[in-house]
Amino acid sequence: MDRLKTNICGVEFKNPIIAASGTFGYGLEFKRFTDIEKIGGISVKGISLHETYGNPMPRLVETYAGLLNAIGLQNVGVEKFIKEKLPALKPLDTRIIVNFWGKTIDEYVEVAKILDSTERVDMLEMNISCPNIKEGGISFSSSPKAVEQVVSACKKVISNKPLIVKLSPNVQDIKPFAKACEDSGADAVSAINTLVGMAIDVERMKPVLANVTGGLSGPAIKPVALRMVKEVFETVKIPVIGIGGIGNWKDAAEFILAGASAVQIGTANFINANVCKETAEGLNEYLERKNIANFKEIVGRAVSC
Amino acid sequence: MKATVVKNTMLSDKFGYLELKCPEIAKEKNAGRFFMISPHSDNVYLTDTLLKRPFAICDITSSDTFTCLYMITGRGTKVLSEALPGNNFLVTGPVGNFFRFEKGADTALIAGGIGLAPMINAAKKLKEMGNKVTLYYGGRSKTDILMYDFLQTICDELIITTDDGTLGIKGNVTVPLTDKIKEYKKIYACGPNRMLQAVNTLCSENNVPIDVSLDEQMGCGVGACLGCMITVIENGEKVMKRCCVEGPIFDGTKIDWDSLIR
Ligand SMILES: Cc1cc2nc3c(=O)[nH]c(=O)nc-3n(C[C@H](O)[C@H](O)[C@H](O)COP(=O)(O)OP(=O)(O)OC[C@H]3O[C@@H](n4cnc5c(N)ncnc54)[C@H](O)[C@@H]3O)c2cc1C
Ligand SMILES: Cc1cc2nc3c(=O)[nH]c(=O)nc-3n(C[C@H](O)[C@H](O)[C@H](O)COP(=O)(O)O)c2cc1C
Ligand code: FES
Repeated sequence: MDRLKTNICGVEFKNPIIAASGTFGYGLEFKRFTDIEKIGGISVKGISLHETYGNPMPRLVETYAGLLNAIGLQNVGVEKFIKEKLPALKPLDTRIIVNFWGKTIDEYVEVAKILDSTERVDMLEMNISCPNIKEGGISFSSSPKAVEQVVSACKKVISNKPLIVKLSPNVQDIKPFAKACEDSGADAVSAINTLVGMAIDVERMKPVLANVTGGLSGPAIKPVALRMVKEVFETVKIPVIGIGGIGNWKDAAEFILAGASAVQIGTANFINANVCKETAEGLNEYLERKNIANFKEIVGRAVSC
Repeated sequence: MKATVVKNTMLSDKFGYLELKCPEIAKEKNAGRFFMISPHSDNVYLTDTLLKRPFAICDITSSDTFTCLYMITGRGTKVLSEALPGNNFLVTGPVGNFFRFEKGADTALIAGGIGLAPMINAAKKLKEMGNKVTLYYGGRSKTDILMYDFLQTICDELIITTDDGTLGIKGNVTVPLTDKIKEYKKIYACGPNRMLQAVNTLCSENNVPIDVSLDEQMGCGVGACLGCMITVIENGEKVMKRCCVEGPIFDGTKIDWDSLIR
């Protein structure tokens, strides 16, 4: 499948399909149900400096064509991740992207430093959709300035691996945020994370989620994600990784045509464990049918009429 | 992975019984495990339901078929109730842990409402091991007691309770269980959380070990999303376990019941 081979920030990918963070566990949970080596890469569950227990239950609720989640970034912490989870991924022929986050800039820097010197980690993906407790809990993605601070601080300690910054869609205009990432040295951006939403239980007259609000993912967010990927693509020169509601090769092709150099698939893994593999296969057939030697030729082809 | 509908029978306006063909799931040897099914039939708009729903493996009917006993509670189960023979569904499974039965031990199975589903396979498993099969089965009313004749054939002792007394003993399962609890070495229960909590209390008071099969919201069913956490108390500390992987069966005495009753 040469038509799907690509290189993102110096890292070779057999195909541009990546399992999205938080939906593929630490990489092996789906092993019984799909051939993981058919997937271009895996972005593991967001890792932080310390083990984090997450939000109370209920954490999930299905909405029309979407899923609201408020997991609360539960993870085993960077030390346990490296000791207990990463070794099992070593023999796998697929790219490992480690998604990470912090509650303060120092925490981000600390995790980034550790991961940068960890063997087998191919790329880092920084999640900036979390609250900064030093700044009264306002999000790291509250302003382009705040993004610049956390990205450049991490960039200073990262020397071995490319850094992807994952953008939040919960902003008025995503373009200055993408620009801030590029200007502070990000090697790529991924977009989008989940959109903040809520659901109400009319019988109990209470919010369904214990956290009141949650992040919306799945097919419901695809048109919004696609528009944002296009905007980011038109704003920066670094590669854009498209995420949001992708469930088959056609969805993936739309993101590529909107400017994505690779795509991530999240919620769809829950519905069809083979979705990443099938998306790669479908994309390959599409390129063959269109007589396109490599998908890179059509990245961003459809941003205007 | 796909499962094909062999048969779909409505047992009442609320309950249905689905027979599915899927050798990978039908070959399961243990009782208590479950599977996930994506409930859209071929003629339903694809995005009607998004996630797979978890259901117990109810009975294994041949080397490549098994059954699912379901209660219509929302969109997904409504779609299941409309499934026709030949329809295909995406499934994942078998998943989760299973009942660990001990040969020769005096045990009782306790089912409340739709909690009957995993107990049919459990009863058959116990019988296969040569154990005596005792099933306590409670429902709201006579019409909620499913497959009565069939249950007679797979149980040595069947004790029915209904809240309104229209069938069997009036009250919930703890009414007959209270007198007999001391006779059992272990209890296995599945049903609404409040019922499970009551049975668990009874077991604790009488020092009888109990395993309960819990129902929690699920996203992936394979341990990847962390959406299905159950809080258990281990060495005095609260820890979270994934209902889909470390469960659905847990030691009842270790569960933080307050976090489950909401
Ligand atoms: C391990 C396990 C085994 C189960 N076995 C059975 C069984 O054998 N028979 C049976 O009838 N039911 C069983 N259930 C409950 C069953 O999964 C829910 O009734 C079903 O998901 C409801 O789906 P719906 O689309 O009809 O409801 P909706 O309310 O429309 O569902 C919306 C969302 O909520 C989730 N959801 C709603 N209610 C529940 C619930 N009670 N438990 C988990 N998720 C829920 C659905 O998965 C979906 O994501 C089991 C649950 C678990 C966890
Ligand atoms: C259950 C769940 C957990 C998630 N956890 C993370 C996370 O830890 N870090 C992160 O950057 N994104 C996380 N996400 C967001 C996804 O990676 C993805 O950006 C989003 O779901 C949109 O893609 P989708 O529509 O294909 O799911 C999570 C999403 C879901 C549904
Ligand atoms: S349902 Fe996803 S971890 Fe249990």
